[in-house]
Amino acid sequence: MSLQIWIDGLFAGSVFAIIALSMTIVYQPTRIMNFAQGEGFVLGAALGYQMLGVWKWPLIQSVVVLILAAILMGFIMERMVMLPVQLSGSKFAWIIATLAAAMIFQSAFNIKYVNVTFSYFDIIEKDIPIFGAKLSIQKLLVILLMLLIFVINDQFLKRTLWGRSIRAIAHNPDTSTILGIPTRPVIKLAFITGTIVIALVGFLATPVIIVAPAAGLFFTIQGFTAAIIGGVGSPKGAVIGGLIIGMLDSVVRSWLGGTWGLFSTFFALAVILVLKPNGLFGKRVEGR
Amino acid sequence: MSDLRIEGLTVTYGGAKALDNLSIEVKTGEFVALLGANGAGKTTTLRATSGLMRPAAGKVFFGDQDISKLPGHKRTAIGIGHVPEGRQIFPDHSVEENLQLGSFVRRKHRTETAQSVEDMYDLFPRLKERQKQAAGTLSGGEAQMLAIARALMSRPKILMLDEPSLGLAPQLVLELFKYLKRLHAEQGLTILLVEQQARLALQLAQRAYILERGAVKIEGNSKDLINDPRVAEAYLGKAS
Amino acid sequence: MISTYKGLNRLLLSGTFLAIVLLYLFPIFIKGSSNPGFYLQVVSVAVCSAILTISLNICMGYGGLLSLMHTGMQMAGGYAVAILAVKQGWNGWLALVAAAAVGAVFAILVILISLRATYLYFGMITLAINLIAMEAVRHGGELTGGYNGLFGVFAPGIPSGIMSAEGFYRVMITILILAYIVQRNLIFSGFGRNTMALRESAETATALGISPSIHRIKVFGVSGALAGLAGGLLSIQIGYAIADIGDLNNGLIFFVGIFLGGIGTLAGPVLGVALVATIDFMIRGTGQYRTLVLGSILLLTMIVLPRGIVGTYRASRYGSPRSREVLPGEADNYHLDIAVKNVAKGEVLLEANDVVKHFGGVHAVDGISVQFKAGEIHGIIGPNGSGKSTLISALTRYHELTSGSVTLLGVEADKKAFKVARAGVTRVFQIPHLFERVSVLDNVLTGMYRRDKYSIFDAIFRTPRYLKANSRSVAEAKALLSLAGMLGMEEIAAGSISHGQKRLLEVIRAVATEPKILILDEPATGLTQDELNSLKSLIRTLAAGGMCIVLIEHNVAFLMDLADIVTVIQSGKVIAEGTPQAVQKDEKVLEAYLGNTDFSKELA
Repeated sequence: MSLQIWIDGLFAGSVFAIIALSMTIVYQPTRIMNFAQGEGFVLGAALGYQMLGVWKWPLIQSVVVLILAAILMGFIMERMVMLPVQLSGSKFAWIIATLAAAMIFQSAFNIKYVNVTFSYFDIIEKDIPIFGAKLSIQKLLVILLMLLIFVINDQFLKRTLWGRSIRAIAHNPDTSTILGIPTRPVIKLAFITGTIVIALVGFLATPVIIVAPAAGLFFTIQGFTAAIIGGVGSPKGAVIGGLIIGMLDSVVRSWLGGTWGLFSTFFALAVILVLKPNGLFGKRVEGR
Repeated sequence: MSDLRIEGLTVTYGGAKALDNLSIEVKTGEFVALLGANGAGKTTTLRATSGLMRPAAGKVFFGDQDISKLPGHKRTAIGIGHVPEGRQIFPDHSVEENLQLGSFVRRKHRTETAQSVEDMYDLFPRLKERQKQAAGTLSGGEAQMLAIARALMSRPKILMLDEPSLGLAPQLVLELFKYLKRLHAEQGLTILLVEQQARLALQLAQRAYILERGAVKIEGNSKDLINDPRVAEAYLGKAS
Repeated sequence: MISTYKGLNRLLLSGTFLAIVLLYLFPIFIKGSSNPGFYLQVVSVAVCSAILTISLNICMGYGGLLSLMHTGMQMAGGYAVAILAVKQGWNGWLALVAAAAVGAVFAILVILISLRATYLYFGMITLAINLIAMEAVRHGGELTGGYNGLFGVFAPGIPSGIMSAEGFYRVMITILILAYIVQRNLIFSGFGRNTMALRESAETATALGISPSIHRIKVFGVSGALAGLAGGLLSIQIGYAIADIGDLNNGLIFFVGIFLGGIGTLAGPVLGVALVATIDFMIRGTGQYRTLVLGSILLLTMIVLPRGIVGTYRASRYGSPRSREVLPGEADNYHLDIAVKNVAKGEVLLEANDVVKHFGGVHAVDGISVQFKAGEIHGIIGPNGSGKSTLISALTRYHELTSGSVTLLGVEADKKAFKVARAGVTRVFQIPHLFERVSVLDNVLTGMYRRDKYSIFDAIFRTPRYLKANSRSVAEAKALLSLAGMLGMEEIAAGSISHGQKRLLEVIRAVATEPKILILDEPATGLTQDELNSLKSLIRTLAAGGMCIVLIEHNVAFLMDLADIVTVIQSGKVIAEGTPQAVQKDEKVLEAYLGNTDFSKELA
């Protein structure tokens, strides 16, 4: 099997891993798997297309605006999801609220971009040859971003007081409250950082994979699959789960064709859930 | 002043009254025990006081302030410390991280909180030995000490403890209660202790309330209550 | 109040009837319009959505199973009809039946592989399977027509000709009405009660002898059959079957409908879909704004009307039944023999030998032997954390034993909790586990389900067998309610009665399972003196009939007054056993409860 397949798998796996990581960031303090998360990916792709592709803005300026937009989206998303969840007593409130938020964002993208798929030039157009295979700088950037986000997230959760508070809330919200930790701002923070993370990968990965305005749900589902294989709530699980489905997809795709790649990832999900109902690194959760 | 005053507190839980017009008071510097059989409403009293439960009626005053509407995390900031039932330490955080989380409300004063951590290690030397360990690996007694130390990190004016002796061997209970006595005597901490082991609590506290079905049944000085047969009755019923 | 409720109900009933008539006559009204076919199609598609939403309601609303594959089941049903009717030339009606079967089989296969998954993961599995199914169809080659799908699906003929659009429209309306009746009959039967029991608490359902796995398979299977049928109808109506029908985006209308109408209510899904379809019709042609509007309606509904329209109405004082007047002498009509059969007084029913249960290093139960005898009220007390509840869970097989044995009526107890329950050991839990949204009567009937010897089909078609079993059960349930002084409250939702009545109802529901041993975990918590007295007399009556009552209770006055024998547990071991009087004077017991007195010097 050629090395190129593995490199492509590593790239795709990194994309899924970042998506899963951003979901984990939201999940930890809220116990919510956010169906609207993938819309952040589309935001990154859309703004990349708009700013780099159409307006020809300089890179730094584009990234700054992207982050500001992601902050805004995270803020709005938190209200759209948490308000119904707090007001409704239904066990299914979270899923319906996040699904509705996903639909609203998706149609907003569809309204703005009719018959457009997002693609633009690589930020740095250069390939690195590795034993006959090629790794473009753009792909390398995504892989590095994945590692960077994992390390920063890990260090943030372990080293900073706010990060530790997030872990504390994830474990027991009541006890966190009596220690004086305010849960609501932490939840806002989680939605905002989660959106920034996923928007960044959407921005960086789009030149390689073409993204449609309505593709948010697809990326959400890929992220879910990765997170669930790894174990919901575990950053390590998100990364490993992402890499597993990325590699699997790439290998099976080259071997049996495109559809079978997608098949194989969902099949892997089903197998893992039957064998290990809480994922590879997950603890038993009941969700909301 | 940091008197805690609970007036006419009623808390319902799925239609049942967990607390029924309960009024108690803890004056600054006092050591008060809250006793009663399981289900009498002791834990609910503490949870309502620290803002984890919304009462159906009644008010909670701290000093001169009516804190009935204050969100839970702000009550910690004004000086109400709570060691919850079953300790509830964060098992995946290290001992030191647990302590640091305890000082969340004082996070702006870094040197001061670093000093507080050291103070806790002085108070509970066994925690220092395990400072880098995950708190989940602690024994029951150590975990209870960590829970108390963590609550102390916010420099509370009043410390409420919910059944700290639960699941501990008698020798450990004794050790724990000695710490509580020291905290009260040496640091002048106001303490509200919820305890099932009534005889033990009465030897420590100055005053006690005995709850029955969500209301105060008996109140008085510990000295008077310790030999009062009504106390045993509250737990085991009237011996006939 | 009673009359207001009944009056409103009558009004709603006539409204519904009128709506049905109008729906049947609808093709006549639109005859003169410019494009009657279009209007007919709009309503027909809405009818399909309503059937599918009923299916979703059975599984999510009543069963508590999060399904994200209903669009996929709809797609599967559509292809079943397309392939069988168009390609294989089956009779259309037969193809529709096959569509329902395909939906059911699909659903059952999915739930079989995911029985162990908890509810969040179950939702995710269904989501993944939905995607797999869509991909499979897109790459099914000639069989499924690939990305283009299959076209030319026509209405099933009677006997072979092509039915008119209007005729088929009326058929669909009839099927919708039938689907609603199937839903109603199921929900009001033992099947529905078990479904709701499982939704509210799998633990309690198990304690009543319901097997969670088997019942979930049935619920999901029924839901799948309806979804498949809806899909089959849709493909005939629109004339094609395509993979995109399975897209989750298309599921938005069902979710909006079910939440707008009221999830877990009978009429909610139909009403909700009717409203959404109307809104959808009014904003047609706005393209992408449609999703935006629907998504916003969904969010707003959850914020403003969390229970949906029907749910809010039912919870209001107009929509909820009140207690009725009990006719003088009515209670005499209900006789019930509560004596436990085939058991002699004093006979040992359950015997535990040296039972040990460790959790990791914690010795929660550390070698306990105990006997429960027929006709005996057996108290178990001990300080907080002493292992009482763990002991009960071990005896009833909610926990696996570390070592030791449990003998039930002379034979080794089964390892499965619901089988122990079926053998005659019923638990009432410490935290009230009533099925709150279900009526008082239905709560009691849930306890009787093992006596109901009718199948799902008996329930759906209300066969004589079902009707006979049901009327007998209702009479017995009323007798039990009368025993607890709760006659007249049958129709009230269990969530709205007083706390004390809830506890009594829970005991009654447990008694309905005809247990030999009834285990009550802190039944007295939060009861008033009057309620305590009713509970006491109920327990005494039951014990007099030969039942063994095991009481775990902290209200010691209550327990000591009732118990024949008291076992005191501390740190997982029995420290005393005897009559209440003996136990109260036991110094070891006093110390366990009140702590040691010898610390005075050390603490001074």
